[in-house]
Amino acid sequence: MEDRLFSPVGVSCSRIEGWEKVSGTARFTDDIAVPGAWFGEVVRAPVCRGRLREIRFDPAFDWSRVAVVTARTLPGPNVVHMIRDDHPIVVAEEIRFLGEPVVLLAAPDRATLAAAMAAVRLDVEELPALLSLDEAQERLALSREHVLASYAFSGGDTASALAGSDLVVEGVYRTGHQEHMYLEPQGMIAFPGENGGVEVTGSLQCPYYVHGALTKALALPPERVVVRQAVTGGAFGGKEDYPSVLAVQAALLALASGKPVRMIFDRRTDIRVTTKRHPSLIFHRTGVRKDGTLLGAEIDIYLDGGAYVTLSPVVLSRCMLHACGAYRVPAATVRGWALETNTPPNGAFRGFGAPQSLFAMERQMDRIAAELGMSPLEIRRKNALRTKDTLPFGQVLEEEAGASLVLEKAVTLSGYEALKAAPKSCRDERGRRVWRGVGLSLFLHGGGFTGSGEERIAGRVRLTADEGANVEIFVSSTEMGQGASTVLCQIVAQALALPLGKVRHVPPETGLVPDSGPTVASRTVFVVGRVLVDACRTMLRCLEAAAKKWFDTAGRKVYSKDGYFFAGEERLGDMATLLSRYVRESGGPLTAEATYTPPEGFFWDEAAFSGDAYKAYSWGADVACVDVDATTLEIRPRKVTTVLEIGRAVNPVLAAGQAEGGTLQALGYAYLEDMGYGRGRFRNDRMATCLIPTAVDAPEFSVRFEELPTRHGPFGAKGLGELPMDGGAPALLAALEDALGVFCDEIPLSPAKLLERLTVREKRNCAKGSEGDGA
Amino acid sequence: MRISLLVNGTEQVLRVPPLRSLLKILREDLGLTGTKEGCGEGECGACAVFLDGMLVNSCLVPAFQLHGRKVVTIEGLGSKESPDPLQNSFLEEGAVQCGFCTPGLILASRALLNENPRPNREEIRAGLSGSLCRCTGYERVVEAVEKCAAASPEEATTPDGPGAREECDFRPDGPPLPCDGDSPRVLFPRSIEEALRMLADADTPPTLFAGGTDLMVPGSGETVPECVLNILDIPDLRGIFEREDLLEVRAGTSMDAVAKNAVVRECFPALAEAALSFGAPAIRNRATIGGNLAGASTAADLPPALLVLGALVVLESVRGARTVPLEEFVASYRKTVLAGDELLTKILVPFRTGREEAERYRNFQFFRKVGSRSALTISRVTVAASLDTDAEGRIVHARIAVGSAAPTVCLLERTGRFLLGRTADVATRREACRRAAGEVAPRSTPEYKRWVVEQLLGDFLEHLPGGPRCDEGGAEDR
Repeated sequence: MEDRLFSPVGVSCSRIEGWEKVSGTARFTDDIAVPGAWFGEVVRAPVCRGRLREIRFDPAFDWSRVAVVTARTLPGPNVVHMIRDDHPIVVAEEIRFLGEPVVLLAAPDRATLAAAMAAVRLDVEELPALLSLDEAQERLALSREHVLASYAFSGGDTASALAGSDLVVEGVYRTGHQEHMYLEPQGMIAFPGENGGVEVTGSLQCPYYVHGALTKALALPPERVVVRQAVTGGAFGGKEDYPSVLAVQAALLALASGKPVRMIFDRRTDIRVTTKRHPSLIFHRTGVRKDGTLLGAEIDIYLDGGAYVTLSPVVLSRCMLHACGAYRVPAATVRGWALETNTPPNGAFRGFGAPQSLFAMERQMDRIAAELGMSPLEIRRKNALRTKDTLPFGQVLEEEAGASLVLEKAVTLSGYEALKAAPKSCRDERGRRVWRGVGLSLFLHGGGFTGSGEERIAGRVRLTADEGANVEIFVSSTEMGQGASTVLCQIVAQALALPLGKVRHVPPETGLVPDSGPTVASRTVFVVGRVLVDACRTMLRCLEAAAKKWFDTAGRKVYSKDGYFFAGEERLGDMATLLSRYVRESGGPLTAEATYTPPEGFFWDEAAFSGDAYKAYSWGADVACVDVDATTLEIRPRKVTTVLEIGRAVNPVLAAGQAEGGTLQALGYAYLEDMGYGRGRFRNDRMATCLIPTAVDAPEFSVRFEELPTRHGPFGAKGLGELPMDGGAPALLAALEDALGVFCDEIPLSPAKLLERLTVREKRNCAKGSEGDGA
Repeated sequence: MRISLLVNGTEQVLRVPPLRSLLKILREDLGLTGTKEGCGEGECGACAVFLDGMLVNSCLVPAFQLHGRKVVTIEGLGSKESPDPLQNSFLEEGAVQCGFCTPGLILASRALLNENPRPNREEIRAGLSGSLCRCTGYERVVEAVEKCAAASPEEATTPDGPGAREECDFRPDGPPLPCDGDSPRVLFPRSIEEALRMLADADTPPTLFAGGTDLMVPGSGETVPECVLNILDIPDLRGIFEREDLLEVRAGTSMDAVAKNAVVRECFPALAEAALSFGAPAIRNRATIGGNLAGASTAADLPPALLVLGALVVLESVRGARTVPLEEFVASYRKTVLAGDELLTKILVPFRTGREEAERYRNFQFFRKVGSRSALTISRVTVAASLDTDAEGRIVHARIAVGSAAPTVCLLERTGRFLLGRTADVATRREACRRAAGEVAPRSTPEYKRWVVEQLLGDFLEHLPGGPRCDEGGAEDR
């Protein structure tokens, strides 16, 4: 390997677009100056559910100064295209959530726009609304009209397994909404194109999703719609589905006004109307042997989908497929429902359903351990998935399972057992009296789309090389902070043995880049990276063929290795030289394309919900240390050790950033991020009230990567982006349990809720005490 | 109005509405889009810039306070040829992900290092607590700042570079020029006396505008006031002065100046702690002590501390000055006793120790704000206390106050009276806590807030010396 010319995979190079970001020269959507652009706004529904009787436009206002779009003036179907086309662009008659768009307006300046907004009156008849997941779940007994999606699968004979268990443990778990809180709010600028077309530039994850929504809504042929990604300031799934909504609105206004139209959300609007993480309600019944061996599990999952389908069916399926966690469950029945409520539609959010079901499973494991008098570590050791184990939906883990590896590493690195044995009551560095605890979680995350999703997407990529041996990557995969631009370049540079500086990720623009699929599901490195390696191979084959013509190879085998081309033992030249010559002689750039090829031996039966759900699993274990202030019950995560098995860390420093950032989101989800949801609205709709952790709230992190390379990812790499979101919440709650001795099954948790639990426990103890006295 | 300011070394003459934010001026009028808007209410820190060498959130700074000022944005910090060392360390340590918060984070880091060239990790976290980042988990950011400081403290500080707190030598000719149709009208008094005259002459009372950390938040009050009185730039409304038996804090003094004042820290630790718990560095640089009191919010951070310290406020008008105990200043929910022509000019905090009483009494102070998170947070419940004990440990003076536990910040008078003449033994502590919990009237999560008041007061009393501590081991189990 020391002869290898360039080997950038595994190197922690700085991010490629870094200088633009530290110097303030990176152009995010709202940073793009568009002379003459109008401003767009939305008149929104004032009720959670209702009937729109009439839209009144004040005749005193000069409506010729503005562009107006309503359900009656749409050029195409009233649909924001997603999985199921149930999501209207604007309300035609039925209002299904508070803040649903009713009228779109654009004006040349903000003052005129504000005046126009004030001149629209909505005549609305309010109707009874379904405003909570609990209510929606109860209503299932009466009606199935509000079921957005429902699946079930079974592995083994669950009923017999439960009947034959020494102990059946039941648990009910709840998780709340979570706001993405990307620092850059949603934004989109639409430009009317030539011959009736439209171009949009915006903050987005999935250019072709937006493209699909625009062609449908505007009834335009694909070639007349162009979608460009601007520098995107964080997304976390929040810019997977929602940008389609915003792009359609902006494009309609651009076409109606004939002007470019900017639609940049302020924070309040962003919090109120964009998608959130699905709240969940999860019931567990688990049968175990006295020694802690899991025998069977029955799991019922209810997700709050909000007012429209968006991505809920896919969120639900991933949620269900991760429901048994990283454990061997010989017999399991998992049922799931995504239910409609009159709240803003919930959508994609890092983890995509898995954080909810893994939270429930991890807490359930702790509950079982407590009932059996086992330690949380022992029960995990006993049941952790092993290579060749079968998952409840029938997938056999053919590649090495990393569960025990990450668990043991996390335990050793963190000193878990010593922490567990340490006194619970102590003083922190500030001298405050605290309850100190430590908690553990074990988790897995399937990389890429669920089931045959990748086969359906059939992601395509293109590479071009010029005379200077500069290679450009054309994919629809986007950089949104996670480091895609940098690591994809590292992968291509590695495959071609070129210096990293020779490779560039072209900013995604539909038409210009092939559809490599959406930038979601931890698939960019794992899936798109792999297809890029295939394209690199095509490029190498092409150069080998050319070399045969250029050199006198005398029947020797021509091949490339480590950045050089050989004929037998003879070195013919290096990559850059041959590339240049090829381009020079052929009179144009060398282009190589590749399409996703399904690996052999995988099969998924969508109808039966069984088979190989994911091509590779990444594994993780978290050990969280927490202090709870004894006088205020304030929760302070002190330190989190996270060990993640990701096949190969393409860029260890960027990967650590994913691990730390994702874990902090998971901790915030558990104890801090409360949107104050109630009766159809989010009470906490400002950054000052809808809180995320500050630098002072963040714990110290200790991150370690383990590498069990997969055959299916580039250079062994698996998915990483979502994995860290899965383990933080259950580990933190386990730590709280260790500190305080109360079992919590609901997030977000607050000091006030902790106090309730403590009071309940105290009362129970008192009652027990007096019973004892009586006897 | 027409203003003239220095932005990254270039003079800019602009005609802008008086309340237009510096953020909008930078982004929309000057095309300096490196400064970002993440929230528009001073919460995220993505819009942080240097204003006369001081870190501020540009979304909270109105145009009318910019005339003759020097602004440095991320564009003025470093160039590719000569980057700020922080820009390099952020890149090398992987402290950048999506990049949206990065300019603000780097400027906040620069402000921190300028003041403290060798911060420890805790100080770094506190220094960056006003810059929210959703991508990194902050670990790499803390590392980047730490490495930058460790590599070369001299270079890290860049004392002469951008963001240095030097006197602004930029002096445009004359005051800001009002323009026709300016809304609101802005009055620029240069002294307290002039301000009082303007207040007296106004037909309708103008809106008093200091640091703007409340008034610039959208939806915080009336849409556009008719007339604004700029009290931030009145020199004699600023400063902390040690008088014979009290400390005089002028109302326009910033939270940062209060928190860092040596006398405040030595004699009034409760006040120093309260000021330090307020917002984050960029907010503390702008917000004033007077603004915190005049807002009359129950969640305000300073009033509980000032109440227990027995502070008085001086209200001045052309009619004269009156001195009012702080507990009488707030009339009811969000209302003060300030008359339309009056200005809150001074806060007087009497010394409890260090004078002749110090021989006989010992003073103990306590302040604790409980928010929903560890920094940059609104008070969920605040408890402050100041007690004097005599040589025998008897409590001879007791003032306890709570915030966010009643419609206004209030003194727990009955609890205070109960403590007088007693020593802080177990029975007294228990009874005092019980009374305190009964004396508050919280609206949201009342059980929790009562419990916290009880616990915090108990914790404070337990630490009082003089009480018989040795014989009560294990008597309490909280």
